Amino acid sequence: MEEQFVPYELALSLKELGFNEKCLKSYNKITYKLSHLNGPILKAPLWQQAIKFLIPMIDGNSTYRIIMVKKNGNYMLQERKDEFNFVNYSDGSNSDCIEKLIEIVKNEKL
Amino acid sequence: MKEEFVPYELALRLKNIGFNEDCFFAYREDSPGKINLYNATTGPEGYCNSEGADIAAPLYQQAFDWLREEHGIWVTFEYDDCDCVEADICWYVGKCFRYGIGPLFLTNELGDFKTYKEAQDACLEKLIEIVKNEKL
Repeated sequence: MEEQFVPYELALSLKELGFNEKCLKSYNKITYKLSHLNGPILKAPLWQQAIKFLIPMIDGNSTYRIIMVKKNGNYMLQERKDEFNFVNYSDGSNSDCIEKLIEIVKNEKL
Repeated sequence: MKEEFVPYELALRLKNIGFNEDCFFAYREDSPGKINLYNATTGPEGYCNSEGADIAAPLYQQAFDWLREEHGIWVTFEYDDCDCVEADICWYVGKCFRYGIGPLFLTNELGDFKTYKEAQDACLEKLIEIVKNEKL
């Protein structure tokens, strides 16, 4: 069931952006493993939570869209090239999509 | 966290078409007509499935993954904020054999889905209907 959650590094970046939703699990900050233990913990968002959190943070006039990849259901970030065409902006993995979205949000905040 | 899980009616329909994956939460009828969502992560297993009387409550991401892996139905949501599309969120559903050959059919819904939940529930309902019709 661990695959339902974003990895530790991304959970950390999401926290830095203000993610503070309720989560099913947390990461132990010492072992970096998912746990329910008390102590120094970091919330572990689900992939679906991460996407829902990030999308509203992107400028409405931006040229990006997110789709789900047909063969594996992963999220893919695409960038508009012209009126009808988009090109892939992430590599087809959930991690890369979330990473790129975080990057965009951070740049927009600068 | 309730909104992260497929609602009871859809969870029940998923069970009826064979969904039996491990889930973190489950629906239980505590008294007639009163359905509660309970946390199974605190139990000895840390998760539950639909083998007992309870109805496993899948996360949306689990439900879509299962439909893709077990029934070859793919779905893509598009989150698009551009003015050029009619809806903020739309979805496309198709059927492919072993990922790649296909689609056999494609349903394109450009409904006025303004929330993720609305779009997800409508899409899931459609997928369950497709699987049910295939089984007839």
